[in-house]
Amino acid sequence: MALQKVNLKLYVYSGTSGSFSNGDLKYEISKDRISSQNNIVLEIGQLVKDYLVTSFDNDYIGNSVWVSAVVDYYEEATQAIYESNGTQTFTYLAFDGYGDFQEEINPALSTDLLQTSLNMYLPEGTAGKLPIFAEGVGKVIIDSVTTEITDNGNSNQKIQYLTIPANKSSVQIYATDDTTLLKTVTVNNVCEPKFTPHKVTFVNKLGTYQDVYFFKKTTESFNVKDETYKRNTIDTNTLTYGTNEGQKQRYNVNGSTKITLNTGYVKEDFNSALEELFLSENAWIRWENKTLPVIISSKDMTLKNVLNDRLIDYTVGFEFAFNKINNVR
Amino acid sequence: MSTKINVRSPYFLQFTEPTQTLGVFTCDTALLQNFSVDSTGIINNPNIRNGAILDQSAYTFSPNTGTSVIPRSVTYTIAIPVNYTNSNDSTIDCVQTFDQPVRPPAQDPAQNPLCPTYTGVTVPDISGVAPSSVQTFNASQFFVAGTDGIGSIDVDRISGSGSVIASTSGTHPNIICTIQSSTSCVTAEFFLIARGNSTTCKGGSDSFTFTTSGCDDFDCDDANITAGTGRIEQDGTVHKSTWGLGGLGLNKLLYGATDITTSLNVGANNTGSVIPIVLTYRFNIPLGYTNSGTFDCDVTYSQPATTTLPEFTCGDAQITGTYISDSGNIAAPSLTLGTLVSWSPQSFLQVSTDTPRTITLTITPPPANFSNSGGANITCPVDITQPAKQADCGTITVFLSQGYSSVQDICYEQQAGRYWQTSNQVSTNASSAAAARYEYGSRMCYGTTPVFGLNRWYVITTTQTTGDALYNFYAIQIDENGIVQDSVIWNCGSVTGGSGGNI
Repeated sequence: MALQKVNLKLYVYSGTSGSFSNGDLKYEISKDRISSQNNIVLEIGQLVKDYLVTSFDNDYIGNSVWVSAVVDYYEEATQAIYESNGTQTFTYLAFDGYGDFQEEINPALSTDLLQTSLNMYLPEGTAGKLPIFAEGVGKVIIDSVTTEITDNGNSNQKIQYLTIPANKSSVQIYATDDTTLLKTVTVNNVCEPKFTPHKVTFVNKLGTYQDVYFFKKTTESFNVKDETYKRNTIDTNTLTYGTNEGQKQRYNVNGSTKITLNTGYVKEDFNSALEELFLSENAWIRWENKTLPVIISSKDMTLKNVLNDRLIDYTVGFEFAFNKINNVR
Repeated sequence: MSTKINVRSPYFLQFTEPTQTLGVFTCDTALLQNFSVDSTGIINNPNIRNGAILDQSAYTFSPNTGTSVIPRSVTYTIAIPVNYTNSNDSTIDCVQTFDQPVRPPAQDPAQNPLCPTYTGVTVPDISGVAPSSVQTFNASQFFVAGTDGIGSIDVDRISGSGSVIASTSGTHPNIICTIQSSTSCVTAEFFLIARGNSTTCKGGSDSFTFTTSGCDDFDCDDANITAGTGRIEQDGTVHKSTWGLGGLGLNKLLYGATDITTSLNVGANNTGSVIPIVLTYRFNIPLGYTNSGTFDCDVTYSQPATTTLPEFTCGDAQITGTYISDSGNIAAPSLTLGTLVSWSPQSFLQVSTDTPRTITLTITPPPANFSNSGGANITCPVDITQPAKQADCGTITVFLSQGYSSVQDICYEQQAGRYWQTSNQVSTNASSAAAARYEYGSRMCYGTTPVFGLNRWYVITTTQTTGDALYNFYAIQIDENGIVQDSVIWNCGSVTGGSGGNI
């Protein structure tokens, strides 16, 4: 008795685990076993990514999805599905995250706090958001106030964003037994009387929205792209041309805005947040009371440490991810 | 906890051949054959086709001195092999019945002068022996030889722990019985049986017991009733606590003097306030303790005055059917209540020996009737053993007899007029059917399940046949993993025990 092939149906869906329907079927894959091997291997991360939509409007909604792989195992001798355990369903919860090379194959990453840095910086008097994985956290204690963490099984509740009230100093994250302290996040409340802090939100390594405040100087710049053509301005009836009419005409004019932001002094632990910002595919800035998409224009980052640099701050360049003139068609 | 995929990195799925379950293991599946009880009460244990015999309800019966047959039955406790849908049940009881024939005068020591006879001197009990201490005594002293002499004296188990090992050696009048056990506080009951040199007539002694030291009294600490389990509802419904001592049987559940074992109800609490209720768990004291009979353990519960919803716990889910294949794949368990969300990890690596594993299930409580309905998922650890990767059972077919404690036993059977029979077809990974008769290290299997050989000896042939042990035959010794540990060519000749030797 040997395995001939597998037929895989891949369902990607929201709601509760296993609640998929025919409409959620995204891929059907069939693969034969290579004769010299005992198993069949398929990669699904890239397939699922197409259906993991990232959208942020300062609303902090969890964007994980369920993935159910329904597998039919075919027996070589009969070329039919095995009588026993011939069809099996495997269910996963997909995040828009990634593992580092050192984290090896099929990285699962953290199952409690969904950001790497254990420090966060907030402007004084400002509330913050902290992403957690609801299945792995029983309760959190913000300063001395306890909040029980529950979820109803829905995919949009798996990632939860804790609201950290203004001017709190720490968040303790406990396991589902409510007694094992997993992590403590230090909240640094920063007084910045001179500059206007800007909040940049990006999708971090664990696939959640993470805020980084840039407290110090902001520089805004602007560049323009255009094209020209030469035109004929001769009036053939009078055989004249107006000197007020240009021989060159400009068209397709548009511009884009760039900004340069500075973090202010941060702890070395915060390097990971900046590194993940640089590696993020999606980022937004809170700008003039709107959430606007940005692209990180800085491509190089030197990771600083207290030994070499004593005080650590970072300057990051961004470009708004849209044209100045509305030409959205 | 759900298994996470981080889609910006690849996520690989690996599929291996699914484990085939073999349906429900029943007594028909076990296929016990050739069970019998002879006129003197000796039980010939049956051959088993699938599974392995762990225990039996009787080891001997009284001689049938009457004038008609006596129906006898023995309940065999059989270990259920893996891959059956009820493998998690671990064991199944199968009853074998046989009509014990009337003992003929030729086998009655009182009527046959050839027979050895029991002197009537009580074989002394051996008690309080330190574990691993070897005890010996001269078994010959309890028998008087008939005109046929005494060819052998065996020590046969009547009941008790299998960890007590007894055997005899030597020749009459110096046949020595040796008994020992490496386990503390175990008891077994035996009797001696003497056989003539050439007749089938046997004489048996009274029983005697062997007990090792290290026993203490059974008490509630031994029962280990689990705190926090069990409760009583406002309407009086009792949900019993669980206890930690495996195999401990509950004799009765009492509320005061009232037996509520069946009703499981203490009456509604209409007092308006919470009241304490004391229930008495009356346990049957198991073997291995100095006290016996029953022992009472009181547990106090709080019966609420109003109906309160219980919290949904792992016990409420009644998780069954969790299963790990020999490839390390995990099959979805069944729940009576709640919804299974996921389990972690998703699979294990293959192992070469049976390996204890813990699978953590994430379960959503039912939508109503529990205090945590609609609340957070609960996680339930399930301990289960991952079986070793399927043994190599080969494709060569050979045939085995029933198992014998020693090769000499085959000769005793021959002297009793019984031929050996290789009625059990097995497969082996030996290099050939002929070589299987003497190839050390080869494996014998019933189908794909290794023979649970218990280091017994089995006559082996390449075809299914019956043979007279007076002629040369091959016998192999098989261990619990079906591996051949020893082999001999033997013939019983005219001498008790026969002659032969290692191949």
